[in-house]
Amino acid sequence: MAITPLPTALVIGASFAYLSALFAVAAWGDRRAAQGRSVIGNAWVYTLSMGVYCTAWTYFGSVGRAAATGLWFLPIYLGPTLAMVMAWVVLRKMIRIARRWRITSIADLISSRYGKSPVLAGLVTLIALIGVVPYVALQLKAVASGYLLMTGGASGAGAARPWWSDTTLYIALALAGFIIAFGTRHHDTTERHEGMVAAIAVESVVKLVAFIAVGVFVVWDLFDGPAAMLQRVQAAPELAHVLQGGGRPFAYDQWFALMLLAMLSVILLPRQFQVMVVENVDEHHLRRAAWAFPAYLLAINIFVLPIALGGLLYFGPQGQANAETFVLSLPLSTGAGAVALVAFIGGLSAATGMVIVEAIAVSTMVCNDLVLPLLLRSRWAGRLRGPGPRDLTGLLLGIRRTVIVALLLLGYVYFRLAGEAYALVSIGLISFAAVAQFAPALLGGLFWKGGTRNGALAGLSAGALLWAYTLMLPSIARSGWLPEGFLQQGLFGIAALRPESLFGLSGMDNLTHALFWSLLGNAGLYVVVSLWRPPTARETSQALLFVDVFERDGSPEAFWRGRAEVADLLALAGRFLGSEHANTLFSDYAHRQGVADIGSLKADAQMVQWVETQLAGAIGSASAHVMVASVVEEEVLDLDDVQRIVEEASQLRHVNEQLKSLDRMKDDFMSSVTHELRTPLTSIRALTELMQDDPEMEGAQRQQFLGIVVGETERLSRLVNQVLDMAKIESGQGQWHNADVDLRQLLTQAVQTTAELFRERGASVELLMPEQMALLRADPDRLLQVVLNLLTNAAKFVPDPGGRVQVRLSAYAQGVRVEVQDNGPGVPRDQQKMVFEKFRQGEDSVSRPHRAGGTGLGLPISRQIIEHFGGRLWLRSEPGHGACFGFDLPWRYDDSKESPP
Amino acid sequence: MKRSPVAQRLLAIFVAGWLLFDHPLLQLWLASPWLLFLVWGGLIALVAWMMETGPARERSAASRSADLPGDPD
Repeated sequence: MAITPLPTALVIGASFAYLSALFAVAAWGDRRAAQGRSVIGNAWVYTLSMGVYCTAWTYFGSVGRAAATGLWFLPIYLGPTLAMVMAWVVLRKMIRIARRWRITSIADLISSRYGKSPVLAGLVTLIALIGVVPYVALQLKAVASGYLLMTGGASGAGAARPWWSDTTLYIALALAGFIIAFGTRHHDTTERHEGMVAAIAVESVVKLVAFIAVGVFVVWDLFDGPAAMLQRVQAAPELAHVLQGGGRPFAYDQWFALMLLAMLSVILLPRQFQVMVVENVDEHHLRRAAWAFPAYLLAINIFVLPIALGGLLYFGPQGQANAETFVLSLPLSTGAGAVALVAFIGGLSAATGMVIVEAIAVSTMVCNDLVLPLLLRSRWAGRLRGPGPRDLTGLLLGIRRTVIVALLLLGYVYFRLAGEAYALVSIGLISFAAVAQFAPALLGGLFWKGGTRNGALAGLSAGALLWAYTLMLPSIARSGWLPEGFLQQGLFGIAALRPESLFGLSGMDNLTHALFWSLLGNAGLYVVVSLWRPPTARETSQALLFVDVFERDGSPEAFWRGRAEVADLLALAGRFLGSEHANTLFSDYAHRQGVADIGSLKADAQMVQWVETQLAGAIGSASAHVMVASVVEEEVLDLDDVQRIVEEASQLRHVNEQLKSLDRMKDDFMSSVTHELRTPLTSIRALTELMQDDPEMEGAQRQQFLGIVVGETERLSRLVNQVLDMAKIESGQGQWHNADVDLRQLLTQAVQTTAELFRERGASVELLMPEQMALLRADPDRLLQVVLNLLTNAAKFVPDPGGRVQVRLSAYAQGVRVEVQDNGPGVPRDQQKMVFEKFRQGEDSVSRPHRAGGTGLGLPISRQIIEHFGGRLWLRSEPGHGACFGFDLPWRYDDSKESPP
Repeated sequence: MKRSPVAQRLLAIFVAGWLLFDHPLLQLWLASPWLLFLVWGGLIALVAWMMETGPARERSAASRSADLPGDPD
């Protein structure tokens, strides 16, 4: 069972070859992006890039955990599965906000939400930085111990050697160089790294394939298939605990805590935020990722248990080999050097992927939210803010590169100090618990408008302090760098302050305990302090923009007031974005605003906000706000101003919608008119052409055709007259000849006029009127037009034969009512409103057997006329019981507004 | 708060997921590790079916109406 090491040159050579290939992929991705043929505009690539969640911890640590406790590696992957179920709701919102406001990190998102607070951004960055250092250490530890195992070095030798001969240090430095070349090559400081995403997607494939290859090797090559393997496991009673959840009473609270922790971390870890939110190019990719990423997690976990069991069987339960390196030691000790090399490359892939993205994400945060704000306050500030076209993009890149090297070195220091004392899994969980502290401020801020900056600050500080006290300090103490006494006796000997059973709360493992107290303190203070005082104007405006991002997308409000000069803004943008890039951006903006060049731009609130957003992409929204504020004269808004801006914007939106709808109605009207004109014209043309081509046509036939032509021409002129009529009434230019009208006489005349029409259809008309009736002030011709329209409509709908129409007139104190009731099919409820719209005759062919003849303008015109006299035209209809059209008119109406004839 | 039917369905799956993967139902799957993987795969398949079919129709409908504002044809 001795391990056969591989030649050092082979391992190093293969590693460098792999990293070079990765670099080539990144360079190719960047080149394609520059040509406008993005390789990451694909849901699968997006999904695979999320696989950066699976680090060396997954690759090596899961097997170690499975060997010790069975299924306990799984909550770390079940949590993200559940998080991704809600991705469409939560992540999509984050993506939309980040895109809209060019947000580049989680610190930026949180600070931006609470009024672009630099203090909050700094605090979040600090927590993230402290939180990810152990995680980076974990990757170094995994690669270093893997390398030692592969090349036959003594295990644990890393920390025992002096630092200058420690391979881990050189691995860290090599990685730093690689990341600098990878992520900060460009002199442009935009937020996206297309090449990096492409490389990470490739890495996800490599580690998955490598891990599955090892699994297949163990199960089929080493143990002759799953059935044979299971038999051997069942024959070994000492392995029963692996299959039954660790053997102890099952700690459900810990299982819950781990799932919750993983669920939050998959969104809140800086590298996850980077690939899921910042690097996302299309939010619809989330649809694929919502299930495909969990499927990836499932796939990479299928062989964890078999490899762990295989290792335990092969090396024996108390075997010499560390279970965390079974992935390498199993193939190595069975002489399968090629499999071991593939496995090592897979592990290297998992570790480097994580370190690359984490370092890029953290370097952006540290640069924008820690270093820049400090620089802006220092004596350098004058040079940064001062006039003159100084280009600071080089400075930004320099800061980021330095931060990357510093992060890797910090990781190395942590590895030297504490790494040897802890298993990979415990180190990873410390990091998870740190970033979980962002959850209340971030998730609360996305869905609750009441959260304030002070609430977020209080919650985050409390959570971070409790995390450090109950989880971080004990881990350092266990490594021997702090006296362990305070763990047992509590701080200052006070038992209630024992870090791992704070206030006497015991019975939980230390992670669950720490998570409980830190999230309780965090969320509690966030809510209580937020509710303590109402949010300020700036907090309110940001809350509105964030929480309602889907409703407000494309809305015009700009929460800013003051005075600014375009030249100042351009110079400022040039300093941080590069002057050439800034000029292009401003020209594009000018073009979009419909002005000729940058000189004609007006520095209004919208433009100031736009410049700030552009800068935010390069230096973070908090710093961008400070920088913009330094070149403009800003007036402080109060809550009423914010309220007013929101109202104005919503009015503007409303007016815009109305205009759009009017425009649409006009188009509809035009197309309907054209359609109605074309139909009679077509038949007139066809018939006249027939007569022209056939001079010998019989007289009777010719007469018939001419009759149709005359009828159609009449219909055409009726239509044109009605359209003109309608237009006149609508524009208030209608001619009204008012007189005292006797409605009894008018209705009688109308019924007589239409009598022939009803007789043809075999229908009867009944007229019910009071004996006496006072006179009404109105235009008699117009009223007759309305009544005739109602009657001809009724004639079209009554059954043939057996139609019955009743015309009723009744008088009231305020006015009169005229009703025309038929016994036709009635008007379906959903069409009752529509019949009063222009050209919208009832669409249902069953209810409208005799459509021909109508112009679709009769009822709309009638309604206009009745409304002109201060009355109301209405329809009452139960399907199957006929329709009753009617109108109410007041005795007198105010005719003073009418234009004189 | 306005919530689309998709969001409500996802929320339901989310709650179901917590119930399936935690005490006491977890006991049932822990009896055999493969059962837990099976339940996990089932949940993923459900989300896949929801995200790739149901909402896809909504999306295409939404983009159609966005392309042709107000035109029902």
